[in-house]
Amino acid sequence: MVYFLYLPSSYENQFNRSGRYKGNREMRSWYFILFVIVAGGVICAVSLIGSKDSTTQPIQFNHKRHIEEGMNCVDCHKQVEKGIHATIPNLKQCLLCHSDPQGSNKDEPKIREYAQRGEEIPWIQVNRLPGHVYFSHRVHIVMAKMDCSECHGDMKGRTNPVTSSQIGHLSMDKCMECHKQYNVSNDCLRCHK
Amino acid sequence: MKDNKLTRRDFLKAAGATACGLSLTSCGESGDPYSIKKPPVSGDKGLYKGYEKWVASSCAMCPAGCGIKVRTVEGRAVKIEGNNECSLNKGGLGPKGQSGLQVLYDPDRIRNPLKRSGPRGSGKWQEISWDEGISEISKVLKKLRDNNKAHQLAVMCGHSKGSIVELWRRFCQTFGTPNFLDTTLTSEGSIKQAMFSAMGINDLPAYDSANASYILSLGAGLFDSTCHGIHFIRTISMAKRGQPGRRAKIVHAGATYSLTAIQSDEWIPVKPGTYDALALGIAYVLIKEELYDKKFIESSTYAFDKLSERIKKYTPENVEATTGVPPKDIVRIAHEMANYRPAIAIVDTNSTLTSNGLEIARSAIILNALLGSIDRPGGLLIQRDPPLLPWLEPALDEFAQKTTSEQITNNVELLPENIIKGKPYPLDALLLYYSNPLYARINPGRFHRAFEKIPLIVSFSPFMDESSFQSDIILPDHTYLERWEDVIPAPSVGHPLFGIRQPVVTPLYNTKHTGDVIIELAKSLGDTIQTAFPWNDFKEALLYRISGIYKTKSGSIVKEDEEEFLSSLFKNGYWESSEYKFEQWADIFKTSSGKFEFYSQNTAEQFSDTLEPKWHGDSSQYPFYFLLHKPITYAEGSGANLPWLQELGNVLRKTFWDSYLEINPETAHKKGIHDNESVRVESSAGHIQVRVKLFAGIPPNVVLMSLGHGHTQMGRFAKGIGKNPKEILVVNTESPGRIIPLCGTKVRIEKIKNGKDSR
Amino acid sequence: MKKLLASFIRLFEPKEREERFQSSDSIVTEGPARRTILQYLAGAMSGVFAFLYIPKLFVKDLLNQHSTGKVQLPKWGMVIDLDKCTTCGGCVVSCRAENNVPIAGADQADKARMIFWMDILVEQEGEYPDIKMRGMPTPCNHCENAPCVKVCPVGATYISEEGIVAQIWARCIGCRYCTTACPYTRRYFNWEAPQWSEEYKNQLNPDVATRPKGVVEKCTFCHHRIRKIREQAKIEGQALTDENFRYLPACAQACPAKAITFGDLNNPNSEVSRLKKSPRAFHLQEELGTNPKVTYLRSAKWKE
Repeated sequence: MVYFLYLPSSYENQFNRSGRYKGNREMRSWYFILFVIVAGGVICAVSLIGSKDSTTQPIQFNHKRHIEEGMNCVDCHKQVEKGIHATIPNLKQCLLCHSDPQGSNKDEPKIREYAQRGEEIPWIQVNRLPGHVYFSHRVHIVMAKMDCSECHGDMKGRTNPVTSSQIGHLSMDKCMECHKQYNVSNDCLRCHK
Repeated sequence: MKDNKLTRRDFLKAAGATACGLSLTSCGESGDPYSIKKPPVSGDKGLYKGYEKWVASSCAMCPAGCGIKVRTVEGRAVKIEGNNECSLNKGGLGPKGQSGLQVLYDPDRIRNPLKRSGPRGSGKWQEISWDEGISEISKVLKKLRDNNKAHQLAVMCGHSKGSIVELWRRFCQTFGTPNFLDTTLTSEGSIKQAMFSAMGINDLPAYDSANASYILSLGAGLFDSTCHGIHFIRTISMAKRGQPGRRAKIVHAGATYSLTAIQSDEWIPVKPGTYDALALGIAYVLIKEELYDKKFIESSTYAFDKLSERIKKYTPENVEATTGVPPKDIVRIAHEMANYRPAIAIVDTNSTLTSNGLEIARSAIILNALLGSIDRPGGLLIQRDPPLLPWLEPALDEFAQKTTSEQITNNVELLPENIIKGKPYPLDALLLYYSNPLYARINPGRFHRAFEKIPLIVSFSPFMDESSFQSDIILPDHTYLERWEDVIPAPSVGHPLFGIRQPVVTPLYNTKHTGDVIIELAKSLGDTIQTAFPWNDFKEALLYRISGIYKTKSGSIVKEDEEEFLSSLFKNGYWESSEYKFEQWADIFKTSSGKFEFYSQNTAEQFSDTLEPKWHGDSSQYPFYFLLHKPITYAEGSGANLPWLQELGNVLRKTFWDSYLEINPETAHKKGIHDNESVRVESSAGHIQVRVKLFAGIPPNVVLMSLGHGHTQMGRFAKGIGKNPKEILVVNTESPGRIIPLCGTKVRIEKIKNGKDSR
Repeated sequence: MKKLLASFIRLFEPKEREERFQSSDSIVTEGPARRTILQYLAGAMSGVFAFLYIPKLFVKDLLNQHSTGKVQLPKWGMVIDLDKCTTCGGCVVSCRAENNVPIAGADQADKARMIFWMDILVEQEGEYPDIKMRGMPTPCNHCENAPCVKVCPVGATYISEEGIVAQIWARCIGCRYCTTACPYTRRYFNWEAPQWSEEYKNQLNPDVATRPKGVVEKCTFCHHRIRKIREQAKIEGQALTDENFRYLPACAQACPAKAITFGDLNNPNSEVSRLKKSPRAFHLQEELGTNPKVTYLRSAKWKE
């Protein structure tokens, strides 16, 4: 892919017939055009991957507030120690506390509105792995004893809901580096499905 | 970032990253519905991601009724596995059972009750509510009763066992019609009759094939499509290899080199449909050389002298003339069967396709009796029924009591003629439950004409099959992964086995359990019909029957509390009582002599002397025997809409998505026909055009075609694929018993010029 | 991955690039035309070679780093008893259901473009009535000396630490060298993007990735099932025995005749190791030296 992207680009044009370097000014304009193409590509890729910054969550969820109340990640992301996915809590889970009004958040009554309509809260999932990657939360949390923040960042300090992936920086490279560090197999089949 | 600060290095890194990002994205985007877009969840709401649950149930893809466990993820059924604990299949599941998911998720399922809004067969439908649908039918039925024409209602039912069948029978009984027509009898009828005449049992035999040392298949499809299904595959494999120190021999007598023949130790080619002569030839040797089980014959059989008198003409030499099997082979098999006890001779619905089907079934059972293999380990078993609690006998009103007991026909294959003639009476309403006569019956065009004479046709099919397409109202049933049902498997293991079928997923569409519809229909009709159906829904009626098992407090689930019993039953998916008491001859034989009868006292039909099957068509004009084969993917014609089965095709012939006429290569060579070329197959009833597959396992004077293709409806995957061989079959009414044979037609074939591909 | 990317970047570092262009320029001015073309071709070939094979070397490198584990890893193998198998096709359908193998449809099927990770191969000889025929279920043989792995130019297929010949779909460029190289024809190319109706998508197994158009796919010995029960056992603190694996892959689980057995060949007490020693055992095309991990059992004729 790199190879082909590279070929039609304009390096050859930076040299004149005699092979002499053409100079800085012209190059800059080329760089500008290239930058536009590349930036377009990056935006395109990012939007396709799905971590859109424009995501608005249905409810302005405050992670910090919940942690301050003495809750733990596992209390809502119930499957994180039991399953592959950490899971987003369903409405039933929220209603355990929020069946009666709590706090002063203006979005808070929405929970009961959803419940009245018999709908689930349409949370938008922002952390998604490509389809050919297998990542098990329980393995990393229970067996590897990792902390959530190692991948997800400081969720405990967040006052507004997540609108984009917190683990956008996590690449296969990172996975492998960590696996190597802790002497875990980097066999493709460990994580690819 | 300003443009002039960008270095080449940065650019290249960015370009590289972009390229990688794009390639990653493109991988996910094009193929994987899980990676980028929202997952296509349409199952239960409120289930967390990755929620996984295994639901035990019972398979319905064939009558064998294997126990299954279905893996559901987030409320979607994703995989069907065999139930490891169920003794019927012990975790195994054949291709049909595996394909059940495509029944559930068929894109062309009927999603709402439908009413015809144009002329019949125009394909114009109007969605109606369930109340409308049921009240419309109830109106017509009420009128029938008011006009004293209750008997002019007929129900065609494609299942032979279970509570829904009982419910239909009850409905017919209280409504006042004798016309509950069991369409499974067209294939199973001859064996059931033979069992009835010999032992007074109106059921198929079960075979303890796992413990047999010698298995003779008389044209049976042990590994093809058979109602014993997975049980045969499992147990015969076990008999062949799987028990240390034991090794059974499997001998298959058959006209063609079928899947069963391939996997057998020996294949004996016989002339089509002459298995009865072969069985009696073996019996002749056994009797002549006194190799039969004398103790059993003396103590528990009746009219052995009549049999030995009759059998005298079946000398190996005479049998050779009929079957084409050399006398030395007949004698050898007889000796082997006598020496390697326990030995069994197996017949199934594949054996009895010809006009002498009843004789074939009878002579096989006689052979088993001579070998002393009845109700003994490694022999022919009598299936014990699970102890279900029968519903209370319904009270019948005046209408129902005085109604005629004369059925419109005693064989479903002859129904269209009687309807068209209006003899013995016309038909005013026809209800179709798992029955598709416009496809599955011999020469279905006849049913087309008969349908025109019936004012109301109602179909309960979840799929738009041929008959539903020509009906007036469709009240779609749930598929088997969405409904409650009891499953009494076709006789296989012998001991009582009861499977529960429960919803694996919540029903996907606005469909309704036909059991519930029957109960609602009965309630809308009022009077004694209403009182005969006191339950709120089918599940309640079902649980009443199951309570009989709970009360026995025996078998695999014993619980003090009924609730507990039910929850264990739903968790296990089946109940069984693995005790099978052998040699209970005095109890099991229900004949008038109380013994095994070689010559039946209670059936009118006695031995016929002509053993050779009748073939329709003059040999000079129609030189080829037209044999039909039920492949393992057949599923009584309802497997055609499942792409997995279409692509499994004919496993050993490697044919997919089409039907083929199999023919001997030498015969084809003489006629100048090459592989894959199209030919015209013609009988006196019609002709079809089909591609040819050369196969050396077909005798020179036989052509073979598989059933299951050639639908004109039934959804996108079945429609227009292949040809239906039943279209050119001749209705042969001369055979004894109530059998209309499937194989009784002779054909001729002609090459079509420039017809390389018929599709 | 970082190394890999870095290698790419280093390969096309502007400085090097400049040099290359300069040198080729000088060739243009100096040499005769024919030689130029040949040299260009040679250069291009070596370039293509470098592009195609360098990543593979890195992959090997990465894998070698972790092959020095202390515990002996299992080596998965399969034994198929042809005396038990009745070629019912249960394994074929089960495999397709489990592994999201796409449906080809009538038109693609006519072009022989159907995909079967598990297929039934058929042998036939003789004329009526002395015909002999045999069908054998054939998954990928997971050869220890796999011809497909040798030819893959991008390292998309390799032999995993547990002996599974794996195919990483995301890395495959669809050159189909491996489909040609495989002597058992157990590799399939996705000629079209898989088509599922909205309804059929409900059936897809979330444990197995679906493959896009243009990649080669093959049997994985249902490694996702191995991973799953291992993970479960570890979390629950239970030990896994040979019995847990014996009928683990979808084909083995479905087989009504229990003709397919699966297990660890490194474990001398496993069922597969035991069966592999059977005098009935043979491998497909043994003469090729591929050393398959799928063993077949078949006896001669029935004897007393």
